[in-house]
Amino acid sequence: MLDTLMSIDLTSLMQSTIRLAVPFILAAIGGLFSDTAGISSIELEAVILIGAFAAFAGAYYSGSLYVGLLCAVIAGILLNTIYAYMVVGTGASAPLVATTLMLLAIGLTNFFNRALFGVSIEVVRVKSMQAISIPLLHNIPFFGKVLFEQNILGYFTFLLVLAQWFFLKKTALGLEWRAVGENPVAADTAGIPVRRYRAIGVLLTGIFAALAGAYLSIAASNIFIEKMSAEKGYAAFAIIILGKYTPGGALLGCLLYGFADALQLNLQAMGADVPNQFLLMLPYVFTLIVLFVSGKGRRPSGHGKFFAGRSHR
Amino acid sequence: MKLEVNGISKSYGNVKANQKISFQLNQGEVLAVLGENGAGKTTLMRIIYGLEVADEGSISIDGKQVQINSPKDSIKLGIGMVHQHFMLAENLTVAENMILGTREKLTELINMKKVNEHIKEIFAEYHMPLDPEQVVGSLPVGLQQRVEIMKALYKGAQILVLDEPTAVLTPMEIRELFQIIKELTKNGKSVIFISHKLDEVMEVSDRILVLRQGKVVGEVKTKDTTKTELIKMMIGRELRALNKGLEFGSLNRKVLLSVDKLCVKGSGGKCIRDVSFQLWNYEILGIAGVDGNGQTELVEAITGLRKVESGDIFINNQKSTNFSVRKIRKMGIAHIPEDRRARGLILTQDLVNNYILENHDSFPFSKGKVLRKKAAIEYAQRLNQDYQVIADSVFVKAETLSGGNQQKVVVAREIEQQPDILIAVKPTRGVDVGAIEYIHSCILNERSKGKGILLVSSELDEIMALSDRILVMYNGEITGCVWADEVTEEDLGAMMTGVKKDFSAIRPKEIFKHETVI
Amino acid sequence: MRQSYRFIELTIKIAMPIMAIISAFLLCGLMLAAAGYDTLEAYKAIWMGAFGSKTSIALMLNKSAPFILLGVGVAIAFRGSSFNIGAEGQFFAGALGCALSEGILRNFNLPPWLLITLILFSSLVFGGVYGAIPGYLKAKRGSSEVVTSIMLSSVMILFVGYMVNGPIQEPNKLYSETQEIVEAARLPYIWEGTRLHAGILFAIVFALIIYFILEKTTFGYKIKAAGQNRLAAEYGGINPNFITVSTFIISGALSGLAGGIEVLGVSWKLYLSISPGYGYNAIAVALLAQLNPLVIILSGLLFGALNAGCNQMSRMIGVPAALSALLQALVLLFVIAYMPLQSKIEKRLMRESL
Repeated sequence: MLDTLMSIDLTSLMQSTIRLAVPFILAAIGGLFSDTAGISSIELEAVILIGAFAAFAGAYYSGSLYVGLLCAVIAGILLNTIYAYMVVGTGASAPLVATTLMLLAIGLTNFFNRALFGVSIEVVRVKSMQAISIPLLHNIPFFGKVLFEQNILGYFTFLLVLAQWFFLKKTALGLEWRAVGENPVAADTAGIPVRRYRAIGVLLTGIFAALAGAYLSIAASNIFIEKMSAEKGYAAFAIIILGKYTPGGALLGCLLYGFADALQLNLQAMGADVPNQFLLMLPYVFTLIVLFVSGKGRRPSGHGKFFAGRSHR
Repeated sequence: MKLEVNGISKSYGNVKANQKISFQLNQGEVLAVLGENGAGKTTLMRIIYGLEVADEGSISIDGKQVQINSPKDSIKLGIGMVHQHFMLAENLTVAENMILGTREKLTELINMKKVNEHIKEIFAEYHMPLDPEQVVGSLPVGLQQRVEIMKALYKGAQILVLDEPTAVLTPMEIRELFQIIKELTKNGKSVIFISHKLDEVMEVSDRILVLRQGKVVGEVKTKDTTKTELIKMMIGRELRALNKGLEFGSLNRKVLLSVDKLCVKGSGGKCIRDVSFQLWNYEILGIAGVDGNGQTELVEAITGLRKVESGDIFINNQKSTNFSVRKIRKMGIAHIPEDRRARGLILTQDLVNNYILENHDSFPFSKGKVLRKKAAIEYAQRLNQDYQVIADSVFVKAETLSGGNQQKVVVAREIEQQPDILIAVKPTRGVDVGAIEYIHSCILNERSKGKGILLVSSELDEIMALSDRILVMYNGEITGCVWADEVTEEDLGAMMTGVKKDFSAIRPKEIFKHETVI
Repeated sequence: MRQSYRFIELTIKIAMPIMAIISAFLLCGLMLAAAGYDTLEAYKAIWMGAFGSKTSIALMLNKSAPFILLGVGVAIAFRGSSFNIGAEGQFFAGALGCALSEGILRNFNLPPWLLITLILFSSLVFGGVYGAIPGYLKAKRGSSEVVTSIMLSSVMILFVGYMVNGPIQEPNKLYSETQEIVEAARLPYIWEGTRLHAGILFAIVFALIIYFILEKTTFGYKIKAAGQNRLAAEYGGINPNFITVSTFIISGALSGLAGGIEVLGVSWKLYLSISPGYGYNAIAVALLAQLNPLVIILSGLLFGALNAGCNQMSRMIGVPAALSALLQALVLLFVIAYMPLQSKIEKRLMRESL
């Protein structure tokens, strides 16, 4: 076992760490847009799945990956419109609505996958996204290969982390955003439209989590597999808690996840002498440990508190 | 700036919270709005601040009619409000809280360093001992209130609405607040001071507006009125004298509850240290102190809701330290909790289920783990009747009852446990005068039956009126143990801020007779 | 006045789920049409598949049994304010317990009733123990039971996958399944000429038992008290953490039992596709019945019919059987979408009747 571990090539391990971390980062950062405004992003799983399918179907029928991305974004927005309406609008329980959307996403993707692509014997594929090397930078030893040979979604993701950090920490709107999450009633009395911010947060979550799904189906691979989200959304939700609801924390958590996943895949590929089911279990067990360690974590004080708006009082 | 309110009405369903209310506020004036709980004070202020929209009526500023649909509008018009429950995000800093909502364009950036410096200057100008970079949650309550006031001024408030601002303050802090109010009015600001406390209103205001059941029942100049007159306007009759009564000639005195060197960890790093006292039969032991000085933790430790770190608790001479809630209740403790909605009642269940919360396990309400619904219903009906709970039936959900009736349900349930010790935490919070009088008489009645009552309240009046002895808590410690009929409010205030200590009353006097008015 | 209010309240309670079902069928019909199928034909095929013949009715009832058991399990956890969406994993834990204990007990020549009882009991225990984990994590660490129970489901499914490919694989090592159980361990058929097994009876009996516990016992009182106001329950001397863990255990045990029944009654061996996602759709079953165990019998039958019917339909007219998953998800969606509507109407009625 130790020998197997020692023989892993560090550069390729780190490359696949980043590659595997990207969907987690997209989902977790996306989720933070609603979490920092006080709405639980436990619906990530459903959005990822529907995003993966929409991107695949869009790319397949149009022949363009960008149309695929657009389809994913639209699907994510549509799905999270339901979530926003129910959780932000009517105060329904977030886990309950999220589970409903999860079942809906499974039902929709399974049904339409079989209805649209199920007939042919051949596996339906699209041409997946290609990596773009950044001139000069990609020649830096080690870091160049690890960081500067991403596909377009990969670069976008790292910019997104920065953008979110800047938004929350450096802009007046970001301060208001955090205030909505910390104390919605106080934010309301300061004249901030609490429900509107929260709804927008949920829609942003929908957009980025759907892109995470798209990454799975048309960037990291070129096919759609039923339930291909494989609990990544729930893991991202756990990472958000572990990262104490900050973009930096989420980024670190996701990289850790990507690393564990990369290690697991490497071991599988090298034929480590452990049944592969146990290797596949690792991310799940890892999430359980994360949740056990972080418990409820320090979260925005107004997190999960329904704000009914003033006219309802 | 002059504010005029004309014929404001607002109803919720069938409840008329405000009916045709009119008044005006002149520049540099302190107007007190006086009324008991549920008189419509808060609704009126929420309308002025734009948190509610009135059904009819209008508001004018300097003679011009204005439309206030949201706090944004009122802030722009120069109205600021300090709410009873502070509107602060506790995890943000003082400065962040203050600039919240002052954004002018969507893409505005903030430079916290500059903001902090600017706000520091403002604090210096007003002589406020505040640090803009401190996290609000770590400040004591009195200072948090100053942040609220400064926040309103920062946003350009000319009219400041203070909603029950003294409820959370020590007598000392109240003095300081009044000082601040005086300075504000000197600078041409106007203040609306909402309260149900007569002494404070008499001291701080220039004029008084009295509300009862949503209507204006009186408007007087402060210097032309008396407390008795105000009470009459406020509740429509005179207060009943509270007959504390009872002569304890040769009583068989014994200790019911004994707390010995108790240490408990509280929430947010606070804790109580080395608390010792004894509660005897036939007495009411009041615990005074500003909220958040360890009273909650003490009660939770005694009732088994919180872990005791060290020290001991004895109920009827039997050790009960860190026993479960159930066991402790069985040993003879009943508990009227601080927050009836959060702890005292299951709001979504009917009164029957609420009445048997603690004894659903025992006969006659169950037999061999199977519930006996009929017995429970009869019990609930009896309690509703005995304790004058006004409800359609025992099958309505607890949430449909008024605050006063909800509290009566809790009081009834706890007294019917026939405990040796009754712990009553803020038993009259947020209920009307009728219910207050009734609940007070219930508590006194328990005392005359020989029970020991631990009465926790931040309302000094209530503590002084009901208690035989008073314990004072400050910062998790006991700073005083005094006779209720001998101590002055000033001395209590000093003990509540830890300035003075006095332990002259560690066991009850043998004989006393007392008559007093709340 | 109050009587008419009660009557209207009950009417709404009944009307809402029915409306949800109708809405789901309408929307799903549109989707079917969009995917190029004949909606009416598909629905007719589902009906025929579920109720068309003696055989299909038996099949439908067999499918309903796990839905009822899992639905009741989800409901009792829900009443105690826990959200058990890991019923799928507990189902497989129970099925695994069943396969393991059968593997041991088959050699002892026990009478069928004893053998079946012992095996099902071990399913119950396996499911219960596995259900205890998310309950414990929630009570002790405050971890979101939604995430933990989902993760544990995945772990258990992978573990069963490993077991049926390794330690307990059938002797020829060809298929990913266990060897067939002995005849004595199979659940008896209860309807002449069909394959309807005794599972449905178990399901109904357990639904009745849970109903009794919830409505008539002090334990049920505690569950509801802790579920509706944790702080008040604690203050009243009820240990809410105990309620969290114990309702999770009961929930897991019922799911485990369903797994055992599925193996002993239908598949006669353990493999990964014995569940079409019972555990996830049990949430819809429970909520459609507004968490009332008696009504869950009805909603369980509906979902059994949907599943059995869709399978038949897929065979007959070629619409993907995944339609049942979609239909069930839509039912749940409309159930929770109508919830605020329901409480709004109730509130208004209450105000008017006062």
